[in-house]
Amino acid sequence: MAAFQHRTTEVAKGLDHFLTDQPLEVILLHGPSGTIHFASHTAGSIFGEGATLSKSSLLDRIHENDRERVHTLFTDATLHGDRVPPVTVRILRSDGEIRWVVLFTVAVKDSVGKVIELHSTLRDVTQQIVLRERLVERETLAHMTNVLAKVGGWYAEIDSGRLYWSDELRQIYEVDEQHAPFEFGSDLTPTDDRLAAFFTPEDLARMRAVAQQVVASNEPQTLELPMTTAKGHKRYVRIFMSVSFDGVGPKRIYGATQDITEIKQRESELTRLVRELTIQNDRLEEFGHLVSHQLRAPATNIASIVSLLDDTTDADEARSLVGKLGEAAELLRRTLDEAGNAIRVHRTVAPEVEPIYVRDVVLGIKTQLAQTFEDLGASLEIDTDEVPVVHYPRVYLETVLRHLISNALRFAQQGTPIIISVRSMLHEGLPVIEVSDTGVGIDLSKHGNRMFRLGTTFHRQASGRGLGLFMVRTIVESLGGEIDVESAPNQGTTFRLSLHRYRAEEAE
Amino acid sequence: MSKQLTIALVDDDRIYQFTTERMLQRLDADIRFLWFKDGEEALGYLQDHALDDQALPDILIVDINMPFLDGWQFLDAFRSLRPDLAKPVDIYMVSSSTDDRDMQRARSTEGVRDYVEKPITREKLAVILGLHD
Repeated sequence: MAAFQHRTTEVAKGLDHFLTDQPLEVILLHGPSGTIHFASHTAGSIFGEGATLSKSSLLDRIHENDRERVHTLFTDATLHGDRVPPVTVRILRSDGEIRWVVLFTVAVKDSVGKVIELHSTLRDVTQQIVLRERLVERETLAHMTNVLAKVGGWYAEIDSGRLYWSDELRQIYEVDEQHAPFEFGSDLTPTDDRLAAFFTPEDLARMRAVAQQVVASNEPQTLELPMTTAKGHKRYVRIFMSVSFDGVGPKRIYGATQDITEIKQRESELTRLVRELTIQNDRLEEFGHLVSHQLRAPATNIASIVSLLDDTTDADEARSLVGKLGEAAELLRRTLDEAGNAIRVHRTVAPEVEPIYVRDVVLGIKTQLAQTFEDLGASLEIDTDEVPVVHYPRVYLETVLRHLISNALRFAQQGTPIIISVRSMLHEGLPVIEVSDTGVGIDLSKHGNRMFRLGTTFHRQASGRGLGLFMVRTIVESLGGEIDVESAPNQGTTFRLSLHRYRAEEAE
Repeated sequence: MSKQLTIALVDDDRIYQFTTERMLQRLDADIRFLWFKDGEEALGYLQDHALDDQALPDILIVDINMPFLDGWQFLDAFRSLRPDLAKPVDIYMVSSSTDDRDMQRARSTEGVRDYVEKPITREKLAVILGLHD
C-alpha cells in the first residue's frame, strides 16, 4: 500500500510540473517540402541547443516513422490552408534524444491567395506523453495484479453518498455491465436495493458498522463476509477499508475487496482432513485396543485352560476343561471374524453409491430376522414417506440397519411389547434415518462417550463383544456421515444416522 | 493357614472366572471365592456388607475392561466407600491389555496394590495371596 502511494505521488508531481511549467512554443516558417526559412529563438528547446535549422528540411528532423504523416500534413496545409488538424510526432534532437511535439501547420498566403510558405507551431508534449504512458503502464500492472490476486477496488464518497466500483470488483461480483454508482445514507447505511442482492441484511449491517468505525477512528480495518454474486455463485470476500480526509472532514472511504473463496475452501478442506485424520487415528487406537484386549482376552483364557489341563488327572475335570476350551476358542473365532469385517469396511475406499429404497432394505432385514421377530413377538414400523430413497452403498446401508435392528431385538425390556420403528426424514436438508426401540435403553450420562468404542458392552444379559456399534460407526463415518444416539434407562433407544454430512458441507 | 482369605474377582469374563476359581482350588489353601460380573454388582455387595468383616473380601481383583462401570470407574466409586469398610481391602487391577498406559495408570493410582497382566498364573495368584514371599 505504501509503495503504491509513493508511485502515485510521483506521477502526480510530474503532472503538476507539466501544468505549471509550460514549455515555450517553437515557430517555424518553411516551404511545402519542409525547407526551413525561419526558426524562432526558442527552437533550441525542442531541436537541441545550437542546432542549425536554416536551409535544412524539417522532415529530416522528424522520426522516420512519423515522416510520412508530416509530409501529408504539409501537403494538406498547402492545399487546404488552415483547416488541417494537428499531429503528434517525434522530433530527433541534435543530441540524439527524442521529443514528442504537437505540430500545427497553416498556410501563409499572398494577397491573391497563393500559398507562399507554411507556418508551423511546435509544442513540446514529451512530458505529457511519458506521463500518460506511465499511467497506462501502472494501470495495466495494477489491473493484472488485481486480477491475479482477485482484488477489486472501490471508493465511497461520503458527501454525495455514492459508491463506485472498479472493473475488477465488477468481475468478482459477476456484474457484467457498467452501472450507476450505489447509494448509501449519511450514516453509511447502504440504501441501495441492489446491494441487498449480494449480502444478507446482517452482513450489510456489519459492513456499515465497520465503515463507521473506520471513519471515527481513522484506522483501516478488514472484515470477511460470505456473499452471492449477480450470477448466484456463493463466494467469500475479504473487505479492506480506509478513510481519506480533506480540510473539512472525512471525504472518501477507499476499499479493496478480495475474493477469498479458494482460501476458504482450502481452509474447510483442511478442517475436513484434520477431522478425517482424527477419526482414522482414533480408529487406529481402537484397533490397537482390539488386538491388545479383545483378541488377547480369549487367547489368554485358552492358555490358562491348557495349563489347568496339564496337571489334571481326573477325567471329568478334563472333560469340563475341554468344554471351556471349546467355548473360548469359539469366542476367539467370532471376535476375529468381526474384527475382520470391521477392517474390511475400513479398508474399502470408494464403495459404489446407488439409490436405495429404505423400506425395501428394512423389509429385507425383517425377513432375515423373521424367526427372532416371531420368537420375541416384536413388531416393526416403517415410515419412509419423507425420504423414500437415499443414495448410499447398498451393502453398507444393509449392514448398518441390520446391526441396529438386531441390537434393538437383543436389548428388549422384559414385559414391554417390542416395537422397532425405522423412519427416514430430512434434517437441515440432509437425509437422516432413525432406528428407535422400546428396549432397556442406556444411561448415556454414564456410557455416552464410550458408546461407539470398540469392545464396549453395556448389558449383562447380552452376549455383546462390543464390535457391532463400532462397526456401524466405522461405516457411517467412513462415508462422511455421523451417528448419534438418544437413550435413557427403560426409555428405549434411538439411533440417528446422518448420511453424507461432510459431503454436503463442502463449499460449491 | 489359620485364617480364611476371601478373594473377590470383579470381571465379566466367565471363562476367566472359571479358570481362576479352579486355580484357587488347586492352591491348597483355605480360600473363599466371590465373583462379580461387573463393578456395579461388586459395589452393591461391598455397600451391603460394609460392616461385616467376615463377608468383606481381603483382596479384590478388578478387571479394567468391563461393561457398566469399567475398572477405573469402579475404583473411583470404591475410594469413597473405602473409609466405611470394616477392614482393609487390597486391590489388584488386572487386564488382558498389553497397553503400557493401563499399567502406568494402575501403578500411579492410589489404593492399587499392583497391576497384573492376564493370564494370571497359579504362581502369580500365590504371590497375590501372600502364600509365597
